[in-house]
Amino acid sequence: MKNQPIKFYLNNQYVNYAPEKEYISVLDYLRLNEELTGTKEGCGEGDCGACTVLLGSLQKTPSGFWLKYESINSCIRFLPSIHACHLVSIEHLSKKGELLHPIQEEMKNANGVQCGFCTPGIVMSIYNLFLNNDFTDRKKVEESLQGNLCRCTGYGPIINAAKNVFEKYKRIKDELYISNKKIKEKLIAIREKEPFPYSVPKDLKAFKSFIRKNKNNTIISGATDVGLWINKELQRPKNPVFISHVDELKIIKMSKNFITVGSSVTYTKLLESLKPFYPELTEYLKRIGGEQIRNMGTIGGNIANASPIGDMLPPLIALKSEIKISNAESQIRNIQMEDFFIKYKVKDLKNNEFILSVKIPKPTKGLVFSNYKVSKRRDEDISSVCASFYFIINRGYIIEARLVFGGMAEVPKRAKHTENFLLGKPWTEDSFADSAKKIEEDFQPISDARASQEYRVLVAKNLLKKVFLQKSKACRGLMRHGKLLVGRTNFD
Amino acid sequence: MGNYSWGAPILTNNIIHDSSEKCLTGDALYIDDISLEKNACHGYIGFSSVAHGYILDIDFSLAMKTPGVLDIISYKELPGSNDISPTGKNDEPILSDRKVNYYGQPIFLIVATTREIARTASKLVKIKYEELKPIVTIRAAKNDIGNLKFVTEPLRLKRGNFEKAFKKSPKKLVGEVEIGGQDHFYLEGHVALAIPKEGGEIRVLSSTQHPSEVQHMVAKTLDLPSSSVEVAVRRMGGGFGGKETQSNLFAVLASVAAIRLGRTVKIRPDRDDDMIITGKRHPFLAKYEVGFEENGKINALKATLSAQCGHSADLSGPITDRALFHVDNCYYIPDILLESEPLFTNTVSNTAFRGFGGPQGMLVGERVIEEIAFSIAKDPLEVRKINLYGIDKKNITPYHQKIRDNISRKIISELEKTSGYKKRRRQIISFNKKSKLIKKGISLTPVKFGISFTATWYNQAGALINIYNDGSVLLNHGGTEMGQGLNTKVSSIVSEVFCIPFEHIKITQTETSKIPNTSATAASSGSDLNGKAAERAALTLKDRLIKFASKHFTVPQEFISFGYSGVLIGNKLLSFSELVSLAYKERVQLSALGFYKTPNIYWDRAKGKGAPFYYFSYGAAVSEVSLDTLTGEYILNRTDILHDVGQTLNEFIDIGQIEGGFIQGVGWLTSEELFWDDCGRLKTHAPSTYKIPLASDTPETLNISLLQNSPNPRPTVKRSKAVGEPPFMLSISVFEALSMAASSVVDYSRCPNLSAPATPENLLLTIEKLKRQNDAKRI
Repeated sequence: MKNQPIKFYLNNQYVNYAPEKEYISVLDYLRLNEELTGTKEGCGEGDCGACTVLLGSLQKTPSGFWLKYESINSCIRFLPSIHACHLVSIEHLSKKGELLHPIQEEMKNANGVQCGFCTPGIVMSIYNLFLNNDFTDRKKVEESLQGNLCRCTGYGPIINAAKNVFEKYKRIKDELYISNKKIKEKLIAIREKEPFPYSVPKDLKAFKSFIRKNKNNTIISGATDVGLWINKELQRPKNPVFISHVDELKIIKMSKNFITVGSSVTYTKLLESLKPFYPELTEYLKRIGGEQIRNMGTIGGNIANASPIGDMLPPLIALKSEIKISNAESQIRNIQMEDFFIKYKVKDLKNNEFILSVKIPKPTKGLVFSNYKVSKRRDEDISSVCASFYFIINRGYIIEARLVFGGMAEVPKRAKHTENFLLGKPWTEDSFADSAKKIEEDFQPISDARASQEYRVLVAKNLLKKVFLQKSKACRGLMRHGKLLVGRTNFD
Repeated sequence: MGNYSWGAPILTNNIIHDSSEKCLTGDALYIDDISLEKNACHGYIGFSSVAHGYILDIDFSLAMKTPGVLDIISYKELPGSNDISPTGKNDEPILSDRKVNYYGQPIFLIVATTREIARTASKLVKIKYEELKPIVTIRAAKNDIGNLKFVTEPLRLKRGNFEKAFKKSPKKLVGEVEIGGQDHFYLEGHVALAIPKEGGEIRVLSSTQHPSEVQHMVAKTLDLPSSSVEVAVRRMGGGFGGKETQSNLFAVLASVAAIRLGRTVKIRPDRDDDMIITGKRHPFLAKYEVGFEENGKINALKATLSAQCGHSADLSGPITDRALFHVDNCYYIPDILLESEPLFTNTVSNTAFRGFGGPQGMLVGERVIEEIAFSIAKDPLEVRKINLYGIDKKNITPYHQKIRDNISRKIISELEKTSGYKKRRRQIISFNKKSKLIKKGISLTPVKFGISFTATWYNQAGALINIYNDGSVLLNHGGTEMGQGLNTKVSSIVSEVFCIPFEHIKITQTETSKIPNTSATAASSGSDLNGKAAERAALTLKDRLIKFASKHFTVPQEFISFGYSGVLIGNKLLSFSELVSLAYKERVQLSALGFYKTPNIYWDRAKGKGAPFYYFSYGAAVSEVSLDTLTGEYILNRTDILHDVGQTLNEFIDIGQIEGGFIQGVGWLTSEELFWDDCGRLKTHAPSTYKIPLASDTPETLNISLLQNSPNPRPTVKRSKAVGEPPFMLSISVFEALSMAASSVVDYSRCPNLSAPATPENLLLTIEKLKRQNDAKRI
């Protein structure tokens, strides 16, 4: 049962492969099985981008299937999860001895290559940017390269190359473009007509059935954290189940007062769906991982992983989000997100349960909502401290305050002493300056490689001062390319 | 000798990196990409989990039982010497025998049929230790009075009489600066592939900047003559100094395993293990005393530079030497006393990294300038200018070398003008007065960097050129390609000698069997040394061809010239390949070696006197930053760079080196922080915890210019200058701009004495310290 073949397309070629092991990374498959060595391993943890490939997957829309290509880190992605997908590696862009692909050509002409080891991954990231955007600017290019490290060039030539591609081409009629329809039909055929591998449920029913049969299971969605257990800790978690085909977990539903997102919704999609309601969250969300991680990582994964530094958790708790949990027998329960986290990496989720969706309330009147992430490096870093501030202001007074911090305790946690202090206080600089003193009653964070206790406490206090200061336009905060970095408030 | 060229010239100073296309398509082969034969196997290194102690017992039984494990190698299995000290100090065991001196010290190698099996099995080995207290930091090493241990002989540079001049100075300052280390983070980690050959000989493919040393180390470990070991490297995915000596370990162990098993063995550590096992840039702690005039002119400087060298010497001697050589940077200091302290610590043995100690030394010098400026409430640039080296006088360095090529004043004044420094500084000061949350800073810092290996014998290179009878040219030289474009530069030099298109010259991989006794591709010397050697080989061949043509066509030599349309012999025009073909038939030797050694350099370390550098490279940068004073986060707004590469060999490559070096330097001084816990375990050993700059960390605006009309006064190849390392130190401008922004919270009344790296945490805590000091003063 377990060795049922995984079927997918690799650079337009059909692959039918039954892996001998439960965990074989897409990268190892490319390099060792196919000897396609253009894709490199730089770190094995999804942080350097040398392993970047494109993954074309079928997206269900009311008008049928759509084949969407997105960049992923092949080093922390496992083969079963690409069943019925189109895997595209650097070798697909130009044939040996033929002309370079326009992206490669621009990279060459801009002198974007030095040692060349990061290069294929960078080309794939620019490709991802090009395929998923109609225009670009320097800021967008920088965002699209958050998940790619280059140690030689200093990035300038690479940024130029990406901009040049957009300037010169509206559309590139390459192999991917030409065979889009053909590949889509073939993937639909695999999906609709052929049996799924055992560890890849095709829908919610199959997923529940897997969980019923395998009590001790490992649910894998984007694998952005599980990938590290496997690559770095050499763990082999039992009974993996790869849920990327379960469409019921990918829903995004808008109702009058709520946005409901399925647990398998990626950061990339979450960002798009929250943007109209919480524009201030957009910049914050763009600082989670790099583009590849945002294309893989899911909201359910971020919650279920229950990390004290899961960046999505503070805003969702601040917004009073509710988690909908199901078990294998389809019994449903709802829980307030802030009650879900019990202690370090311990959560209110049983073996036979999984997260169905998250219900996020839409903004209410008088809401001031602001999110901060402070880290050693601005992008693609883990928070030293992250914070989400939710205030309801009525006639200049704070009538509701929810201050949620990450990186300050063993779970993402509300600063209840500070909240209580602020309740009923006027929206003034003094109120905030005074409230900062309460932070120490709420938190005694640890010191580690990311930040010291002293810094964490100081920053948490200062962020309270900052949220107030930023209300006044004179103190906008750090700008880059004319745009304010995170910490936007509704007052802007 | 017919150097006159005619025909349409081909410019070789804007050729794109020769591997560019291959890298872009994924076609370029790195060692891990090479297809292996079926019975090839894989080694994985097991290392110490304690920083200091004795191994009491090792239990290999579980690993041994793992299916697929073929061999386990401990120090006992090494056939020859158990030492890879690059300086012959016999202080660096390949595999620990009993004592462990750092967390990450290799203890054994597991060889298995797959890398996954070898790696998994390596975690099944159980080691019992008797743990001892480790010395992890410089301060701890210095405080360990009575046990202060140097890994190598300290250096002392002295000119004039510090004590006397210090005493007489109207103003005095005492200070210290702490400077963090840096991981190389080459994108391609270490990797070695050893292939056993007949008769016990071996061929090794190693990602190394120093194939000859790998050859020597493998020979020593296998107890073979060097002639039985062949080492080759086509390209590296970055080196930056991290593959100068650190490749030895992997190559040596792969070779031992390959000989034992009679099978090809590859070793490629995981990124985390690579970062834990291998050395980094040296952290430094410097203490200084400076005496100066009211206007900021320095009279006397004494500085002690203590370096965290780790458990062995490695290259710490020359690195701490170079640190001392660069404390002066562009400034004349009449009475000076500099001392190095290469300290033993229970950490990984630190090693070469772009700049080789120079950046740390230079940062100390620039800190002295900065602190003087704050103390007399002057723009640091004014203090810099007052202290610059002169042209005809005030031109003797602390190591008694006369500077003959000083252009620092010219570069500074040109950059000051083009960047609008003065006006922008005024604007920033007034911005800071009004802005509550965000503060800005600006700084202009210069660079003067000495070019040549201070180990004088390293300043040699060889090249081999073969012209085949179809006119194609094969070029070999002793340098290695790590992305810096060395092959492109050297090829273009040869193409200009023969006046043939660049594409007609094929550069093959660096092979110890072709060019012997090569020096490391390091110290920015790659094109200076190898370019010159290749040029000489090419000129020898050209000379032979001219002599042949002269005789063959009975045309005087002065009427023979190589041009871009062919070779003109009297009034007869032959293509290069036609001439070669004729020469071959007339039995002209079409293969030649070239050799070069840098002239006019010498260094007497015991006396601290000499002329260790052939020339100096110069540059300067102005950086502007914005700092969030509530979180310590910052943005690089703009950097303007004016850099001296002499007459450029390749503008694209030189600008690439400047930009890349600068950003790498910015990483060193801002986000790249190495963190050891109290037990001496490195906690930042992957890109998730160790943060090198991203595209979004670069300045919003970056203007880079090459200094025009500035040929190297020394007869280097095409009057060019070395470019690999000097631009790294342009990043000090960012560091000092951040410092200015921080000091604005106390109205620039005190020097923040920022330590490096200036992480957001460091900056915020510095701001808090400044405020506290200011409040204390008021009370």
